Amino acid sequence: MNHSNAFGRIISANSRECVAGYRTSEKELPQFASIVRIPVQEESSYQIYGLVTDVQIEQDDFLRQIAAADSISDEVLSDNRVNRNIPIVIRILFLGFQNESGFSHLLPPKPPLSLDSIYLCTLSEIAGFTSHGNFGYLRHILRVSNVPIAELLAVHLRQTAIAQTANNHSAWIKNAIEEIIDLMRDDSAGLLEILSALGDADISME
Amino acid sequence: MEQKTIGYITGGSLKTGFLVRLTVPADEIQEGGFVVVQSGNYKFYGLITDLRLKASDSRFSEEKNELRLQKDIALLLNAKTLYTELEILPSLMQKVGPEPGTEDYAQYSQSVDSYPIPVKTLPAHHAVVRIANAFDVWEIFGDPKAKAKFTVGLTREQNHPIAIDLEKFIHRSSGIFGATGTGKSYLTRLILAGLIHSKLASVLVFDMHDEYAFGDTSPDTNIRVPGLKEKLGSHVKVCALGRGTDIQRKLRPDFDLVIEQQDILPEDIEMLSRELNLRETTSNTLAALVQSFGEKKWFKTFMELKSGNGEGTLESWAQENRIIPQAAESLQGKLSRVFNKSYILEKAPTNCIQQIIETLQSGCSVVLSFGKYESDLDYLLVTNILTRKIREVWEKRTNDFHGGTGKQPISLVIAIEEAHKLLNREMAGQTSFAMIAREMRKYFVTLLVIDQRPSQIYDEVMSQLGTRISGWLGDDADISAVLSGLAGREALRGMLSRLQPKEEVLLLGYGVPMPLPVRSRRYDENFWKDLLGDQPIHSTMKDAKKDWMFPDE
Repeated sequence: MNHSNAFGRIISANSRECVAGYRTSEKELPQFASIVRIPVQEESSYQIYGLVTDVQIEQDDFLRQIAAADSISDEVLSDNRVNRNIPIVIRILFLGFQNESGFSHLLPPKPPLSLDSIYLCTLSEIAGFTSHGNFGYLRHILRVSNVPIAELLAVHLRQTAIAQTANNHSAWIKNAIEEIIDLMRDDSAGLLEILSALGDADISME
Repeated sequence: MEQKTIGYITGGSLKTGFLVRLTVPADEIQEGGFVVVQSGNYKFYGLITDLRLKASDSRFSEEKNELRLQKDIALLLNAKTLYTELEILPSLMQKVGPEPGTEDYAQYSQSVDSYPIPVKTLPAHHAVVRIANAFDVWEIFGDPKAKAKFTVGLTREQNHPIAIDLEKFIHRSSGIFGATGTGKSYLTRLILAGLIHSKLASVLVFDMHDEYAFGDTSPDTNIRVPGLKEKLGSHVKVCALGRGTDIQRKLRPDFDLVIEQQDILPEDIEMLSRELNLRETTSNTLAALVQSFGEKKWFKTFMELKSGNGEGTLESWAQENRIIPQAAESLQGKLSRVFNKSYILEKAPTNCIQQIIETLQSGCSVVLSFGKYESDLDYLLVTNILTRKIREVWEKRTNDFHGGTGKQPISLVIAIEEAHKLLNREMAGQTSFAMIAREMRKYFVTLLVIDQRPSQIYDEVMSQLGTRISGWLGDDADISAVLSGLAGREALRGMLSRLQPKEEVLLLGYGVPMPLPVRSRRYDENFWKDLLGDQPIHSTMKDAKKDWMFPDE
């Protein structure tokens, strides 16, 4: 397992999702809807796959004072961003896990531990996880609350389609959209919102 | 074997039929298609009776998704949420046997298990539905080349020949229906040709419009089509009503039909109440006439009674028999229309009716041409007298056969055009035809009813018809009449009204294992070549009867 390029650590977790913090100085910053993996330190072959559903920059007391100042010098701006004490917080929705038996799109049997590291998935890892099974991980995304699901899916599918195409699986995106249509057919309004967002994401199905 | 899958079962019941989600474009499937559902150990055979456009949610169908979504995504959405649902009328089910062509199959095909039976259970959800292939058609409708099989048409989708079982066809009375211009007469000629050629029955055709013996020119194609006599030669005798009557102005028949006055019974007259405008007192007068002069002489004697006073006059007879003289006089006047018919004579040179009966008994068929006698009065009177006589003979011969003193009579089919004139509610009880339809099956006589207004035929007679072949019908009452007494008639209603106006017919009832719309065969030279081989004209006709057919040449 490649454990390079860790960019943050777990702050809190439950069976469905976790919250992680990272510094703005990290080189590889996760974007909204990125797929990440969280190797659980206790077990070498067990790692959890998740999707970034929210990125939040929280305030600290000093930040309010700086924001109220007439002008902010470049040094102050840079210091605040690089050396701030309160990390940027990301929310990660669990999509499945991997152990010695391979991938699974069920929820992880146990959540990660605090301060476990988080890694951005490579294209190959994304393709491997998302092409396993029959899109079972999508149901976790479709039932998440307090998140703009249409946007989340649109960005996720665009990124994953690139990964799948790089792995010679260009039909993946068509199958994924069909699966979403199947899963959402009883919620026509929600489905049309998602499909509309997919159009905005300009996903190629060629 | 070709197996074109078209969908899968999504629901249904024995009462409402099976529901199928179509997996091919809707325009590849048509109402009336013969389909097979294979599920577990059974194959279910059925007919597509309805197609419906469906959506998993009405919102997906009400708005054009292509206008609001990316084109490729809209196509995926449409493919997933918009679909066509078929309704199948299940008819038969059959155990799935071994692979055809194997030794096991040969054994299986002889066993009772191999016979299709009426549907008694349901296929499983998601069972695959496919269009019937040649083998399925063969299993259900049999080998069209087998003895007693006669191909009436082809399946509409894949042109598989569909044959009716002529033995079953003649076993019960049958009907050929269709609105005017739907090819009813040509279809009737096809069936009659097949029936006569099969030698399974003699056929008596009441040819009201001189169409069947010598053919005519098709109004659609302007091509002359041959008649049954021209092609089947000595198997068909042509009889014309009246002495010296030509058919189609120049063709001479094999013999004439002249009716003797003594053949006319009071019931023959009562049957003509509407045509002769008879009164309610007629029955009493006729009964008194038979009592006075006897069953054989009443008609002649009555018609010869003179008017005026004194002995031997109409008035004195009426008074002696307590009949109102005016009623007797009125009846005599009305019966003069019958008495003066040139085909009714005191004494015929030969016993023509007997000649017809003997011809039929010998296995030959007879086409009775009405020539110039085209009125309803002629048709009703002659068909009823002749049929009554035939019925008496066949009843006697059958009783002799069952009593061990005679041979089994040959089966007889009486073909009647414009059957509603003889079999309407008012007439049915008075003519021999209703009785034949109801009971004469036991006596080897059945009817072939040909009509464009089946709703005018008495429903008790319609319900007795075994095999029904119907072309397009537009009138709801006619459609209901054709489907009366049949299972699944609601599902078949629409199909009858949506048949192609020409050359498409729906086969129904006893003579076919299941209802099926077919493209009917064309009544042309190819048909005759198939039936007879390469005989352009029957040899006996060509050699011996050329001038009989064309006396002017």
